[in-house]
Amino acid sequence: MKVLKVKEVKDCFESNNSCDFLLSGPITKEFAEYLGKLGKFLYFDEFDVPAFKVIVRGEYTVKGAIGKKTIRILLPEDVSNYPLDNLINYINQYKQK
Amino acid sequence: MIYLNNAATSFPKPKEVKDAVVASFDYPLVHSSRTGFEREEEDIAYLCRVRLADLFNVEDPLRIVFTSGSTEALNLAIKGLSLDGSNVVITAIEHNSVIRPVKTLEKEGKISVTIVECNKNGYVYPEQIEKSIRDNTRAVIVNHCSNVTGAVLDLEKIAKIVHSRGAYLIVDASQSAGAIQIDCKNWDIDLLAFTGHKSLFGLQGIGGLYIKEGIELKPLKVGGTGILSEILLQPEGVPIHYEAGTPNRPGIISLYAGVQFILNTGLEKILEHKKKLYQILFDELEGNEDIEIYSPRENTSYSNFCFNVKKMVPEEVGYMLESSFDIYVRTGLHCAPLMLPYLGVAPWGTVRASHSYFTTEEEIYKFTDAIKKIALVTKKI
Repeated sequence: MKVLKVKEVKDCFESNNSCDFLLSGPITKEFAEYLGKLGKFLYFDEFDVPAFKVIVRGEYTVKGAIGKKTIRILLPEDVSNYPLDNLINYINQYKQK
Repeated sequence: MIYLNNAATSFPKPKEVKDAVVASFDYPLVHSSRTGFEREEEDIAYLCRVRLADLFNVEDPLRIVFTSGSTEALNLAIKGLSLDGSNVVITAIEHNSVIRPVKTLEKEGKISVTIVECNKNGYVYPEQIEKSIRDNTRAVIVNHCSNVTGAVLDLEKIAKIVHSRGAYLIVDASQSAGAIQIDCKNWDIDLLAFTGHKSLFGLQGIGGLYIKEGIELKPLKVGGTGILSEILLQPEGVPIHYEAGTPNRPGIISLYAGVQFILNTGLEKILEHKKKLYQILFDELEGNEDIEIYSPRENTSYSNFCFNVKKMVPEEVGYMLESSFDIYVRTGLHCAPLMLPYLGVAPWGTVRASHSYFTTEEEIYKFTDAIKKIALVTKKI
């Protein structure tokens, strides 16, 4: 999986410091679980399209849904230009089974 | 896709609107002022004013001037009246299209602004407005229908109060135009701003301002009018005094078709359908311990269902609805930041689901089912 594009999200959102990653392929349950290793992993398979959330305490929250090509990253409010290189590298290292 | 963001912009539009806009590519767009009397029936701008006048109960259709939408109409009303040195009363349920123009004038030292509180459902009591009017209050600006909760104010009563104190009443009808009854004549409205792309089913970029006979505003813009070119100043008279520049004819065509659709269908029938859907929303979600509803049961447009899932910020709910259920709502402050403390939803705002005449019962049930599933998530986190 590769991160193709990072887009800042501007709206009345739960975090005014958030961005979306456009991924090279659709999100699978395995990929969601791979992200889940970064922190507390929540998986909502009761939804029409299962969704997930990964809470990396003190850093950021990642959320997305199966089959989509984007994930949203909620960053700390008080940190501008939050370093996302580690997360991008981690995603880029994921090999689809 | 289930679209429940009609308070932002209506979708879908009636087929008649699409057909009218597409057909407009097949003939030259006639300039209203350049057509002879015998071609009046073909003058879409005039016809549109006539139909809007029917809908809003306005005696003279020419008192309705076209703008790009409510924001421009409200700017024209607020900046067009001579308000310098006076007090302006607004309510806590105003949209930024009112808040920002008056706060800008206040910052420039030209006016003072008084804000009237609302209740926990976004309703503003006329008595509260009366108490807020000062001797130097020259204008009272009210949102007819809250774009957040859907609460509808009593314009007739408010107009009487405002006029008894010698002030102008400016109405923001962005949410109410085409959604509920508006009676400019009998309610004695001075200025009424509306947009075309919400409940009037037109395209984005068209709206208007009704200006009561006897009120003269300074135009926001001056320039070409297509007629009276020998005059070096903006020609007097309505609507031309306020409509400099090439008109948005495709927008006017769409608005005409949209208003025609409403008048042909009947406002009552449209409202009845939305009322039925509104009832389902309350039946399904009221009483759910994980859900807090802010929209009122009474004094409402029956179009906006404003709520939160407890222990979950609104954006989270919106994101889940969109990504996992293909349901589109609006979350956050809804450009009405003064309301938040009264609803008790600062700083994140609310979720707003807004249906239309074209929303089905099945779609509403799918929405309420999705909300119930999302509410259960809070127990996992």
